[in-house]
Parts: sequence; C-alpha cells; structure tokens
Amino acid sequence: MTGRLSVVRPREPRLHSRPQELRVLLTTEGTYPYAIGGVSSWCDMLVKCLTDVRWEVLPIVAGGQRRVARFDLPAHAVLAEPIELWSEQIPRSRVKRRAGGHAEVRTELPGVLVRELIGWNGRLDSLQEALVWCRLRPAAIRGVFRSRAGWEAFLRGLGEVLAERADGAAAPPDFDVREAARLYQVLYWVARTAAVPTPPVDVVHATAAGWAVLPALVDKVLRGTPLLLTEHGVYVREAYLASARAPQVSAPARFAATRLARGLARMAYEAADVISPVIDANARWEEGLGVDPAKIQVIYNGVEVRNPPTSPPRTKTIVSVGRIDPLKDVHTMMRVMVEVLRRVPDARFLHYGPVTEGQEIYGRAVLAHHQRLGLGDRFRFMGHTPDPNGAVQAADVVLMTSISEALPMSILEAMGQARPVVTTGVGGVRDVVRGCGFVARPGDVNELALGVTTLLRSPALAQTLGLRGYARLRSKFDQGACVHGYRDLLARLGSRRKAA
Amino acid sequence: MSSPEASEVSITYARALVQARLGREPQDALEAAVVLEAWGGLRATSALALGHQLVALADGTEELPRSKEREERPRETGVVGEALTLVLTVVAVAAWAPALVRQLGAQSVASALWFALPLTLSLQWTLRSRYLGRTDGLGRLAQQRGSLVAGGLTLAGVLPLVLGVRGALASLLVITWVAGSVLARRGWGVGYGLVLLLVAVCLEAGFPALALVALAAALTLLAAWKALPPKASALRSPGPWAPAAAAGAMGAGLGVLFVGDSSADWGTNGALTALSLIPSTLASFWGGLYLRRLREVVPRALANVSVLHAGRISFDHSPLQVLTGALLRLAGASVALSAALLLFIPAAGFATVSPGLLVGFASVSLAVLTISLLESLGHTRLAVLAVVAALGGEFAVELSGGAAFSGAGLALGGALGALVALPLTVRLLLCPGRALATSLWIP
Repeated sequence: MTGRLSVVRPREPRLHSRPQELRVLLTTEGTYPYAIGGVSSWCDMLVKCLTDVRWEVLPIVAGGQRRVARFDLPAHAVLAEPIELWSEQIPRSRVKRRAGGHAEVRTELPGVLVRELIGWNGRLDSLQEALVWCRLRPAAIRGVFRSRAGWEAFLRGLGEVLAERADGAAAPPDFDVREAARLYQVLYWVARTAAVPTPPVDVVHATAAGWAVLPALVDKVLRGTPLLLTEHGVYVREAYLASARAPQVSAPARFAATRLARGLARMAYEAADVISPVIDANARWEEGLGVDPAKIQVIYNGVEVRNPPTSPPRTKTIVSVGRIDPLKDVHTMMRVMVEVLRRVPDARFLHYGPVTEGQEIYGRAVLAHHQRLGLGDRFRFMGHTPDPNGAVQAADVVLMTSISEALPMSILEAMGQARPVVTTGVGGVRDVVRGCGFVARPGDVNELALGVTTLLRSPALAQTLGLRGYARLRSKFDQGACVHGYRDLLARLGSRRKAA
Repeated sequence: MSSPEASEVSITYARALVQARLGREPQDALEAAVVLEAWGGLRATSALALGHQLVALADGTEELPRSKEREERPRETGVVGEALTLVLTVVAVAAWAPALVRQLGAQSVASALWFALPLTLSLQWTLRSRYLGRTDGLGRLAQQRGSLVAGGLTLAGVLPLVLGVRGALASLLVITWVAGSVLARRGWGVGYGLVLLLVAVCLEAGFPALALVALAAALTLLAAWKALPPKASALRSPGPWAPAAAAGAMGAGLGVLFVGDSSADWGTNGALTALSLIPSTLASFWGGLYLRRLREVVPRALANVSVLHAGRISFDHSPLQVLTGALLRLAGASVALSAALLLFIPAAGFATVSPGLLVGFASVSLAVLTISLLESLGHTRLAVLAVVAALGGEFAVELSGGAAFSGAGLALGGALGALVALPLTVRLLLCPGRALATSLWIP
C-alpha cells in the first residue's frame, strides 16, 4: 500500500499562505457557514478571532439543496467547494487506465466499509487503507459501487456484521434488500467523501466526530496531518437520540444509522491527536466511549462580554432563544408556560429562533400545539434574531427545555446579561448553570414551571442568581480564554507536524 | 432539582423507562444510555453503566406492539389534464398544418418541422431531467428563468437568421411546445391546448400564419414565466448537467426518428401525419402511466426479502408484470385507436391515413417507452445506444432507396430501439435488488 501511495497523488487544491503561517483545514458537517446555530457561531468566532491562522473551511452538506452562506468569511479564510452528500454529480476525473488497459478496481471496497464502519469492532487501519484508496482513485469508486462484484462484496460484509454477537449489543435486526441497498448507498457516499482532495495543511480541525472526520482520516495517512477534534454535542449520542425520537423508522434503518455514527465516532476518537470537547459533560461521554482521558483537553466555549449587565425589566417576561427543533422540546416549553400562567397570569413568553431546516413538519406541529393550548399572545414566536443578547435583555427569566445540549450559547448569553436561568439538566448544562439558576429533569413540566414561577415571584432571588451567573461567565466561559486555548492547541499540533 | 445517580435508579425503573420511550428493548448499551440521560436525567457515566446492564437483560430487539403504519399510495394528480393536453396539442398541430402549408409552402413547413421536432424533444427531455421530472421541478426551473428566456429569445433570433422563414417557424414552434411542457407541469395544460386550437381557428380564417404562431409562442412563454414560482421560494438546486445533456441527446435522437422517415410527409400531408400520431401518443401515455407503478412495486417487491437472497433472481415478478402491463397497454391502445382512426378519417371525408404510418409511430412509441425506462433505471449510455440503433435502422431504410410501405423506416427504427433497450430492462427488473442498489441509487 505504502509503495503505491508514493506513486499516485491526488490533485490538491492550492492554499496560498505565508511561510510561517499555520494552515488549518476546518471541516464542518451541516453547519458553518450555511446554517445558523451554536456550532456555526463557534466556528465563526474561531475563524474570525484567530487571524494568525490561514483557514480553509471544508463544509460537508446535503446535496441538491440551495445553499446560502449565513456567515461572511474573513480575508484569512477560504471557503472550499462543499462536499455534497446524496447529490447526483458524477466525479469529474476519468479512471486512470493501467498498462493492461483496465482500471485498477477494488471491488472489495464496499465489503471493507461495511465491516469496519457498521461492524461492532471495526478497525481503523483497515478503514483508513480503504479510504486512502478512494482518495487515490476517486474516479474508480462509482464503477466499484455500480458493479455486481461490489454489491456482492457488500452483501458478504453485511452478512458477517449481522452474524456478530457482541457484548453490549443485542442481536442485529434482519435486513431486507431495500434497507441493504440504502446502506450500500450511504457507504458509497462515505467513499466519495473520503475521495475529495484536500489542501496540504498543518492541522485538520474537525468540528464533529462524524462525516467531517473522513477527509482527516485520509490526510493522516497520506501526509501525517494531525487531527484536532472538537465535539459540541457528542456525535454518536445525538445520532442515537435522533433514532430514539423516530419510532416510525424501521429496525434495520435505525441499526444502520446508529452503527454508522458509532463507527465514524470510534474512528474519529482513535485517529484524533487531541479531542477538545467544549464542556466536561462531553468529556465524560467520550471517556465512556473508550477515549483515553490523556487525549482529552476541554476548552470551554465562551462569549464576549462587552458591556456590564443591564437591570432586569421586571415585566414578568420569560425568554427562550433557540431553534425550533425536536431537540429543543418546544412542546414542553409551551406546557411549562401553561403551568406558569396558572400561577402568574400576567407573565408573557417570547421565543426567538427559526425552525431548523428540514424540521418544517415539527415547526407546524409546534404551532398546532400552541393553538391547542390556547396560549395566544402570552406565548409569542418572534423568529430569528440577529441580536440574541438584546433579546435576552428583555427577559426576567431565561428558559431552556432541550433534551440534548453540549454548552448552549443561549445560556451563556443569559449569564452575560445577568439573567437567571431555568433549564433542563442535559449535556453540559449542569456544569454551566452551577448556582445561578434552576435545573430540572428533561420534560419535567412541573419542575420547570416551579423554577420559572419562583423567579418571577421573587425578583431579588432572580437578581442574585443572575449576577452570580454573570460572575461565573466572566471567570470561566470567556471568549478570550476560549480563543487562546485553541490558538495554543493548534500551534502545538502544527509545530508537531512541521517538526515531523 | 438534582439529577439522580445510577445507584438511585432501580434497574426495573430504568428498563421500564427505556421500553416506554423506545417501544422496544434497546438495540445496544449506547441507545439505552442515551435514553436514560435524555429522558431520565441521569449523568453520562451513570447512564452508560446502566445501559450495559439493561442490554444484558434484554433478549433481542423485538418491537413492542404499536399501531400499524399506514402505507399511503401516492396519488396520481392531473392525469386527465395531462392526457387532454397531449391530445389537444397533437390535434392543434394537425389543424395548423394545412393553413401553414397554404401560406408558407409545403417545403418550408416540412423543413421547419424537421428542425423543430428534434429540438423540442431534446429541450423537453433536458428540462425533464434537470428540472421538471423532479420534486419541486418548477421551483428548480425558476432559479434559472432568466437564462431560459434568454435561450428562447436567442433561438428566436438565430434560427431565422440562418434558415429564413422555415427557421422562424421552427423557432416559434419550439418555443411554443417547450413552454407548453412547463404549463403542463404546472397543471395549465388544458388552457395551453385551447390556445393552440384558437390559433388553428384563426389560421383557418386566413390570418397571417407567422404572426399567429409568433403570438402563440409569446403567449405560452409569458404563461410559462407566470407558471414558475418566485425564485426565492425554491429550496432545491437543479439536477446535474451530465445526465441532462444525455437526456437531451436522446430526445434529439428520438425527434430525428420521428421526422427522419421521408415516407411520412410532414409537408403536403402534414395534417394527416400529425393525426396519425394521436393513437400512439395516447397509447404511449397510458403505457407510461401504468409504468409509474414501478416506483411502488420495486420497493414493495424488495421489502421483506432477506438480504441473504439479494443476489438471486427475483421470483416475485411484479416489476416485470408492470412492464408487461405497460407494453400491452401501449400495443392494445395503439391498435384500437389506430383502427378507430382508420375508420373515422375516411368517414369524415378526408384522405386515408396510411396504416403503415400508424404502425411506424406505434413502433417509435414502443422504443420511446423502453428507452426512457432504461434511462430512468440509470443506464444512460445503453439508452443512448438504443437511440443510435433506432436511428441506424431508420436511416438504413432511407438509404436502401425505397420503403416497402409508408412508415417502414419508423417501424424498423422503433423496433430496433426497443429490441436493444428491452432485454437489458428485463434483466434489470429480474434482479430488482441489485438494480436498485447499483443502478438507481448510485448516481
């Protein structure tokens, strides 16, 4: 394998930079710069604040959709052509013909991918070898996957995976041909993603332990590029959560989706040089998933606090900032408001945030539920706000009902404005809201409503908790410290690469 | 308001919570842990530990009973309108022909059609592949409405410059027919057909032919512009160019097949030739409509077939039955409608329609059906090959010096195209699993 690697090199995009400048490839998945959300804001902050880094942003997005960049990249950052999954674009380059006149094909490729990514104990070296082959022969991938031999190799591999009996896993479900064909298609896109050429850089910084890591796995072998992995939410956990929330999905589809997420995350954890979760709670998940604690370096997400906090308006206003998304559990939020209104009839609720792209059905369900509960003007959907700090300033209490979070920006923004928080204790929330708000169990309407009511009825307590949150933010979740942490980490990894 | 630790949560409670949330046993420890954390409020470490215990207790991933999913069959909307559009269009073309021949000359009309039909089919197939044949097709097209109109205007300018009057007529016909396909997609096909008929009436009344056809082109283009939704509302980008270009080439080839047979006189007898198209057009529409069932039948034939048998030839022949049904409908309707036409035309006092021409058009329709099916199954190159074979057959008849009967070139070309396309199509439908995995879902 190594001998072949030195002969054929993929065409590399050129990334111009000054001699001593650190070059970083930032890989994103469905986020920056095309979507609004916590991860995108964090990427934007990092790219804009680390001006001494030459950034190349490589987004991985769903194909066939119209894309509009929601963030402007600064001059020291370049946006690469996005990798479009599920698109119908055929790879442009032609298959290299060998002396014998036949393209060198590797029909075992789909079998290897299913074994290593879907199997319970997939091996990184074997997967990397397959992915490197994809990068070196991008035009051969389609032929392999369209061939009978490729399909049969996949079926053999899948048969082995389905026959596995592993500790910690129940017996895999039966797959029918349609489900198998779907998984085959997914693996084709894994191969296509790995095949996309990347520029030579000093560090690859992946923003999720999923598809965003695939280019990095190849670069690690081909160029020895170090991999820094930052997890905002825990990728595998979110994939399982999504499947648990979709009871209509068949057992094989669920199995394929979650196993793929698990396979990608395992490979990402193993290949990463440093894993930098944004909160301790993520680190606990990563350790629980087998990551060596020595590899983990938590760098808290931070917000910039420019002005001293304003006084609460004392208008009994509750504010929530976040997308309308199943993970935010907006239904519970509305039920909490019903309970609050029973006890504080003059309270009002403002929700800021757009419906997540692709969750339009959920958005409609939320509106229908709002109508059913008869909340009317007491609970208003304000849509996207470009100024979340301003939105939070109008609040006496900030509410969050998510069932999954890492380190939510909306809570940091509330603390930055010295507003008390009532929230569900998911992900890293408990670590953040320590002594400056109420934490309830996810979906616990009564507990959440009790927290909100208490703070509305006791402005003095609300103010104390708010100021405590402000002080905590300044000491622990400061944007300067966050940026400084990444600068050091990237420089360390970059110098390691240059020394090598 | 603090989160419970694993020791505080009994395994029975944890199991009940996970089962209640999932409606089944967890598929693995991770799944159980995620549920316990998200809905049980446990910390990650506790949830992971408890998750392992739960999976050890579980005896499989069997689903708990829940209400049965209702399988919804997609509704076919606007089918009658689509069929009516086709009929009105073909009848209108037939009705335009005599007046056009009178005013512009048979040679000009025949030449114009020689350019217009292949160009129209090429553009229609391209539009279908890149925009109209897709979900939110009009929205995708709306994103490029400016360049489409610019293309139309260029066409209207260039062809007359190169070819004179016949070029002007050809370009106007192309604009009318292509814009008409946008209107049909929007569900405005009947209105479009009625405009064409109105133009036919005006032509018969002696109004200037070119001016009327130009008016029809302008009206349909304007209506097509209006038919497109606002650009900003489009969520999806157009399909890729490569398959669209291949589809365009196939459309052009099939268009040439229609006009390439010199025994089908599109000039002097243009009206009768156009009328001869009606049976095969309607039959092809019916066959194609039936063929749409493959969208449901193929996945249904594969559901519940174990992956262990994925490579075998399917013993569930339902995809093949659909193909057979479509071919029988095409053939049966062609025969019946042709017979009706043969009886009706002389009875109405017109010259006789050539039976050979009817056979020829039916044969071409058969080729179009099989070739487009092959293309939609992901075998574009072979579909192109089938088009080339069809054209080869037709030109062989032309080059041989004389057709045995009127429409012989069409008949032989169509039959050859179908013969090339059909075996591979049958083979693909015999192994629908592999076809789905390797052809349809790997672009």
